[in-house]
Amino acid sequence: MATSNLISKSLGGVLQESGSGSPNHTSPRGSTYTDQSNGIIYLNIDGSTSWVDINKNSYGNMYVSGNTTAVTGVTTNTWYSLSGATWSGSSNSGITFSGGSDILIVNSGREGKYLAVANGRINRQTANAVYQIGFSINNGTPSDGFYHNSSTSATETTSSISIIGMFNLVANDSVQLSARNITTTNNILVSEASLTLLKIANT
Amino acid sequence: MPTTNLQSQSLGNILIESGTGTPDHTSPKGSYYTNITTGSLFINSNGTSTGWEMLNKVAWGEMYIQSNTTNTTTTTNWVSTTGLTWSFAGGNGTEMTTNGRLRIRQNKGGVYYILATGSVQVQNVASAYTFFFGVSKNGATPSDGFWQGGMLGGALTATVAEEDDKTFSVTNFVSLSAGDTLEIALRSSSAVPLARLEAANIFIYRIGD
Repeated sequence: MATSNLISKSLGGVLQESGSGSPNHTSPRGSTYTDQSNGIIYLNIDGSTSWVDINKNSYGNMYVSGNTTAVTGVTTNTWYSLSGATWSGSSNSGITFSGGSDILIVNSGREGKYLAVANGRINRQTANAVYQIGFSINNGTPSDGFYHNSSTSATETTSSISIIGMFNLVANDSVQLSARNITTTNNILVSEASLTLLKIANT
Repeated sequence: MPTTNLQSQSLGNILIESGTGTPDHTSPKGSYYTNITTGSLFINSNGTSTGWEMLNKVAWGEMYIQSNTTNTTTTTNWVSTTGLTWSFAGGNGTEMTTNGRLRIRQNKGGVYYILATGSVQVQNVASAYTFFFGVSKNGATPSDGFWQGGMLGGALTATVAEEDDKTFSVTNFVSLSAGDTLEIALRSSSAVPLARLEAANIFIYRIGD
């Protein structure tokens, strides 16, 4: 939606403005415009009709350390939530850590595009196997591009996995880590893991 | 501290405001407020007292090590890697000390996002060892959530040049004040093996007060 109901006040060589809709009007470079329909503030960058929105902070983290509780009853190639471990949350802003279900939840008004970064250490259980850890959104199956794998063996019984992803989240969406064994039915044990969400754009 | 000394001016249906403290007052959606104590700017996202979101004040930094061939004698306690040859990739509000620590400059304190990665190599060991890669604040022991581990070696010949590598990462948030430092530390499940931090990066990005 283009700019409507535009109100402007001069502040030297720039304007401070408000209105409804994404800005498409001409203002001096450095002017600010607030879209009152969604609370997003924009900055004019060329003295013409080019506007960039300014990102609003939201971030959260949860981690597990020293976990010894494995996922049991494993079926090969089936994703399992890692919520059986005891997770801790830290430094949350706009993101709620739910300790009961071990997920990160996007708060109201904090929707947008998020960078997700995670890691985990997988532990060998009885036999060699290849494991994967991935991002699970709203308890769903990790999508392509959102999981990585690593193997364990008799001589190297633990292995590290790192994952990076970027996706759109809306209010009340949840993110957690899931894992699966893609070669055997042995248990899944992730002893340490960390999941970080960082909002990088408003839309 | 909640909002005090609030000053407001109307701009159509929004308010442009200043005051002291973190905002906890009600304003129309889209209003913005400057905390004159910290210079931080907030915008209201939902028209309520809890809808305030802070806008970023930019600060960031990165340092890295590449193609390192110097081994680190690891122990069951965390060992600093600041003696290695680190390079500063650049920054705004941050700097690298001469001994490989990323340091926060004056007035650039706040909450920072940390992303660190490292490739660790073990050489010439017949047994397997678990190595840990962590981020240390001010030289202290890396806290839970700030380290990752994995096993290396196990099938190597102790007397022949054989090696094994693993990559680790750390992702988390940390509150840093001016002068605080971050560095990479290593630990092993045993004091026996030498670890080589072949390559590593530590990147920080300021996301809040």
